[in-house]
Amino acid sequence: MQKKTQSKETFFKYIVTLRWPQVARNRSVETLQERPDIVQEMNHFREKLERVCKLILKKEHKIEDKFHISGVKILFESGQDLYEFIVRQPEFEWEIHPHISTINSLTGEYKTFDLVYQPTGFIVV
Amino acid sequence: MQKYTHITLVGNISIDYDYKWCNKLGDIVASGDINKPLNTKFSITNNESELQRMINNINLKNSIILTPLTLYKKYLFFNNVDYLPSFPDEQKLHIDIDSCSTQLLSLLCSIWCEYDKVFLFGYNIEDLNERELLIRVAANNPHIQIYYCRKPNANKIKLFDHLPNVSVMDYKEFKKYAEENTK
Repeated sequence: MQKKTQSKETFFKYIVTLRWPQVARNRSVETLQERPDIVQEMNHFREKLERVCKLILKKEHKIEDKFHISGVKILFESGQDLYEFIVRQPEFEWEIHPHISTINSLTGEYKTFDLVYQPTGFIVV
Repeated sequence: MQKYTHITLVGNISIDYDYKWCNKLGDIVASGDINKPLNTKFSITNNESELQRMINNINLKNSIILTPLTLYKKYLFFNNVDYLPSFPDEQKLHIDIDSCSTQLLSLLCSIWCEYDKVFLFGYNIEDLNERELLIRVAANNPHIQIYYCRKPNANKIKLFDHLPNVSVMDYKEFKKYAEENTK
């Protein structure tokens, strides 16, 4: 039984961080404690993100529950899904930090690459 | 099954050999693109057009395709493409992983993965540079046992006699070894 559960475990190879909406950026924990409206906005943002991810992504993904001041961490199983997510940012008025982290399936190394936007698309450097 | 201890390396020379016993014995690493349904754990290339063919090769659907970091950045969004680790021998032997042969990369990768026994099939040693690098890599890694596998041949190869960790084995001997070790 345990073996079955283990084999179903998903390997999330790609990680990106999606910035919070403008109103919630660069806010300290103290500010957030005093401003429930911003917290509500952040919660709505997360909910919308979850809904849209369910709609547009074909394979498994995971939205981290932990609070990060920089944004929401999203883990992707599929590179094609991540590509789709990056390409469709303007459609949902999202903005990711221009970095993609990957976990090497051979070495287990976690490495971050920069994403550079260009007039014709984007490249990874 | 000797997973994690035995690995078969499919070199750059195409040979007519059924890799059934290699599959039973352990993992298989392919150098470049392959045209037969091998159950390879890794397949390695440093050539972009070959990488594109490998991504679309149904035979490599379940294989991890390893490539140098420079090439990986261009193909990062393909799930089964990953980058090669940095090998300790790379500096010592002045190997440029972006331009060296894929069979050498496969050998370095197998050694990096710490497989105890590496079986070389279709490994090109006619190229003097390749031969020299194989000897130097073997000498640098005396804890890894390397078997150069070839067709049964009455002529003996004496190239590796000075290396205690390199042996020559023919296909019959390999089959016998595999049968004994997979029981």
